[in-house]
Amino acid sequence: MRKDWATIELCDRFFDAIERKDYDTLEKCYAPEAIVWHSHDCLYQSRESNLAMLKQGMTLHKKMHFADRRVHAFEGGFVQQHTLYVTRANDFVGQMDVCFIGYTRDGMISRAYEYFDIGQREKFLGPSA
Amino acid sequence: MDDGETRALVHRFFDAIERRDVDEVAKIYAPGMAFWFNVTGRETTAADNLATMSEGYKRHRRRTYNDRIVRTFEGGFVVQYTLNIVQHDGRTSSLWACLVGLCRDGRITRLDEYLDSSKFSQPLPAAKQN
Repeated sequence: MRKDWATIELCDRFFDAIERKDYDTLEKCYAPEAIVWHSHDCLYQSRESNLAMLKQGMTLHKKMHFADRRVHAFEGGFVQQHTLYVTRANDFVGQMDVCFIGYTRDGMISRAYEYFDIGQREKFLGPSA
Repeated sequence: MDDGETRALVHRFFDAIERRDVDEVAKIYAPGMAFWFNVTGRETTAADNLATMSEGYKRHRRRTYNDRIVRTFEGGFVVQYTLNIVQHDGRTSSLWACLVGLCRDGRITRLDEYLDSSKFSQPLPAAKQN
């Protein structure tokens, strides 16, 4: 099976944009029809709603870092495993292990599934969560 | 392993778990296989995983792994699935999960499983939380 470097580059660009708080680059990674599913509520979030949430995060959080990225490209998408570290306004550093599956079309993310354990919310949101 | 072989391995693995055929699962695991679980953040051995699997069968009447969406890549796979559980008292529940697997020579060398523990109907046994 050939390695799809373009897909892996898209994955890198997407997460790097979030880390750098580069909203414009982030926005361009999503296809017009993009929807995002999250394991904590098992609901599909619209492109607009997800981008608004990520934009808010860029404002609220001091830093977001996707560490230990392990990426595999498959036909039509990619899967990335990482540990997300978020430095919150009160300097608490939350962490969460995440599995992100992105389905792509025309070089953009068309549908994404994000799996994480909200049962560990205190580790991610802080002791008052 | 090509796409077809990897897919066949994934279904053979889940089908064996559903049938409670621990011996078959053991044959699928390569020597030195490692299993990582996001809920505990721990990596365990094949032997530990098989023991947990056997012990886990006592907790539920039935578990099925449905809606399997399998994507293969060089050296492995990712599968999204719904774990449907029937408790001993007949109550049912579901968990939505994904599993990233690495494989070689027809066997699984590593599994990383992601679940949301807030949706567990029963807490993990204390021994498994540490």
